Amino acid sequence: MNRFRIRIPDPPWFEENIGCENACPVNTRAPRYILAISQGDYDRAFLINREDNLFPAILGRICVHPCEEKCRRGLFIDSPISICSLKRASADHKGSPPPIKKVTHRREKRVAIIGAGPSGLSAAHDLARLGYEVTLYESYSIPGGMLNVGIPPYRLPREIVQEAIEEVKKIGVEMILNTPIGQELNLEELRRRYDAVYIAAGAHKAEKLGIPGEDLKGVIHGVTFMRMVNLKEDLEVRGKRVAVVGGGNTAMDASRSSLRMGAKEVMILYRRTKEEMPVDPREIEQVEEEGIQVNYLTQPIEVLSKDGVNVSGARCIKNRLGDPEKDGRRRPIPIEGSEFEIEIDFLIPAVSQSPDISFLPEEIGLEISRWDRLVVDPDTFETNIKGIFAGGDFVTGPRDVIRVIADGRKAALSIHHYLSGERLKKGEAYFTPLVNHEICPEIEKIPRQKMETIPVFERHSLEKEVELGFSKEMAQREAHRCLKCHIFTIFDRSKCILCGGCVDICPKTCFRMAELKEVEGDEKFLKLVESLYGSPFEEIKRLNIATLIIKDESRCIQCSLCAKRCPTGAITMEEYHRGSIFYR
Amino acid sequence: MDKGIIKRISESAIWRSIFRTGIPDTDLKRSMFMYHNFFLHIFPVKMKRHGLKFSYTFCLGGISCLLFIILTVTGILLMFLYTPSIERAYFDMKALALVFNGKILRNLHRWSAHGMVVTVFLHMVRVFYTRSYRPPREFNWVIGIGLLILTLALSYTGYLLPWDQLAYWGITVGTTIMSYAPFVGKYIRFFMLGADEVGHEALLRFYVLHCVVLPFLTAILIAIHFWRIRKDGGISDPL
Repeated sequence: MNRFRIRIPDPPWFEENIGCENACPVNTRAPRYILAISQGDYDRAFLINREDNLFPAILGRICVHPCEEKCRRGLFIDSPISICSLKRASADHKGSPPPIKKVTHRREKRVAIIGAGPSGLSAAHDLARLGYEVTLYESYSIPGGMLNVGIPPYRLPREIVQEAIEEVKKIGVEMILNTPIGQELNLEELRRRYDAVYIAAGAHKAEKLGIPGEDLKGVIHGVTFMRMVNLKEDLEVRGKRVAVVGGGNTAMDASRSSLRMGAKEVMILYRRTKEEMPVDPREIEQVEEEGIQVNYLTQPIEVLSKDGVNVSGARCIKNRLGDPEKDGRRRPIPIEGSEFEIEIDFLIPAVSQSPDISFLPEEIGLEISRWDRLVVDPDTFETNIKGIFAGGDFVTGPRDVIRVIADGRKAALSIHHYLSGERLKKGEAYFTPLVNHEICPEIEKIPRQKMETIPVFERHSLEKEVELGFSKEMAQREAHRCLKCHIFTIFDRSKCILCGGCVDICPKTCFRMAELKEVEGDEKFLKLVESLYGSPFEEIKRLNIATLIIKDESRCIQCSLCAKRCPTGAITMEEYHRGSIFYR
Repeated sequence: MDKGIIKRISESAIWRSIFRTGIPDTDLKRSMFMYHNFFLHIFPVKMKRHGLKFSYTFCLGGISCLLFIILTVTGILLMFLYTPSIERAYFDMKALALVFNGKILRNLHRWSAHGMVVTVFLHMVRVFYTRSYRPPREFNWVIGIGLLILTLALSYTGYLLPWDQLAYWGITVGTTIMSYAPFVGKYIRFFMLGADEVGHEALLRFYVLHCVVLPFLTAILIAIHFWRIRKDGGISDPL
């Protein structure tokens, strides 16, 4: 008979029910900035974003937006709010929000960070704001890591990255470029000179396909190819036929960049189907628009060469899908006898990358895992050597920008704790009652806004950004779609007369009146029931004297009809507030 | 003129000041529509899906209620044409044949009354066989029994009003049976008739009971009956 699992709301419960916020690795307060956008206050929206994720303009373009997967609207009504694009809108339409405050309190300690990618930059930013003297070491000639050498400018304009880097510089972070660690300067030396070291060197080493002919001239791995493109190194693709292997972001970037550099024909070879592709459907759409042929269920098994030096083609095999693997994607199984050959001049395998740990000196005794990764404590980002921390893609292999930013920010807090002994606490969350909470009756009818892109015939330059962002009107319309999951219905049990009005009026059937025997709960629930009725739980259950109004929060659209209908004022709509989890 | 006429009307200020939420095409708007509309706000916003299944209720309660409404409306119209006196009652009844649609009016009243006795009885059978009389609906079952008695009482009191042979002897036999009750029988009969035999006093008494007292009590009990259905958690769960 126990049909419902009951949980008494506590702070983690409230946080879990703000799906987008909870899914974000840095817990960006999305409903709050979306609310600000709906009110036309782009500056406030930008500031909220900057406090949480540091680089709204960058993330608004390239974030993989785990938030949108958990958006209640996407899960229960139609499609999720374009949270990511609204983040970009907050940066695009901001006026002149106040600059990041200057650090007043200086500390004696010094921190070195290896790698000026998103993880290194965010750690440097947070540590500098805490008053530490931070130095960033970057092996390339430009800082930014994958933002500058991995992602092409038509997806992420360089001035946007530059702006973010300048902000980090402004708070006093020193950046030393063209200095790979392990050559003139090594890790031991850094350890001597600095009080703590954070390694965020990224994952820039290409993983090979492991097929014959991979060493031929004309085989360039995706991450290398993108670096050459972005650093404007010598690369002659004009008039050539290019095949890109893989279905991830790097594969898409490599294929679209080749096309922009004048390749005659570009195709993507992907071993699974469109459904399994780990990229945003919007990007696949753009790839197809641009005329790139995507060959699904196809994988190369040998790179061919007529002269023994240059690539002239590839032998491929067709796949079919088998049973799902651990990650839920179905396994590709080659179909025997389905081999065929294609004629190409370039093969760009873009299947995966890994961190290059060769610069780590063995003498220090850093613990390395079986998979050639540096072992760190997942909570503190500390390695087995005191004072050396590591995070970002360097410890996990390639992930996405927001996750490595989260690593950087968490590592900064951990480094601060290591250096000062102080553990910064989260600010207390609190509620404010809303007196006249109104919801637009048409809210469920507003369609997801589609971002405009430049026409296909204009997409011939690497520099020209494809996506145009939302206009103010579109951004506001999109923001109005938000259900505002940070507003909760708060119940005053002492006022409830169990009339069932809320159960009846709720358009989403969130409420239910239940008997005690229909529910099961944890220890906290038992104790609450016992304290209310002053008898043992089993006795209360036997006598059937307790009636419950229970709510399934996951379906609530915050329409406030329950609060309006309630004859005793037992229900109020209250807004949940909390500060950034990093700004303390 | 790119907008359709319906859209133009539904978006006009007048329309929107009366129907605030527009066409209820989403769950939210349906709830809002119920909440903001005077006529709809007394109804539940949602009900159990199985409660809409015809073969579960056969709509017997609803049909009984509809018949009661028909009886009230036709009864009021008949009151304009009828005098409760033994000199005129029979002739007023006969004169209905001369009134515009008078026969239809009287027969609607008569057949609805017969029908209501049948549907109330069948409704109770349905409630019994679906075990809907059990807690928490036990009190509503008692109210239902009260309504059955009132229905029968309304029929019986209405029986005398035509003041024909059938009516006269029907009531004579009925009230004589009452007088056989031990000790108080004679008093009950006198109380019912207002005299020792069926006459002017009895006709007036039955008329007042039939047109005022009993319909009033029935309306109140129907209201409580409906209200209790909602309080007891709507229609009973399927077997």
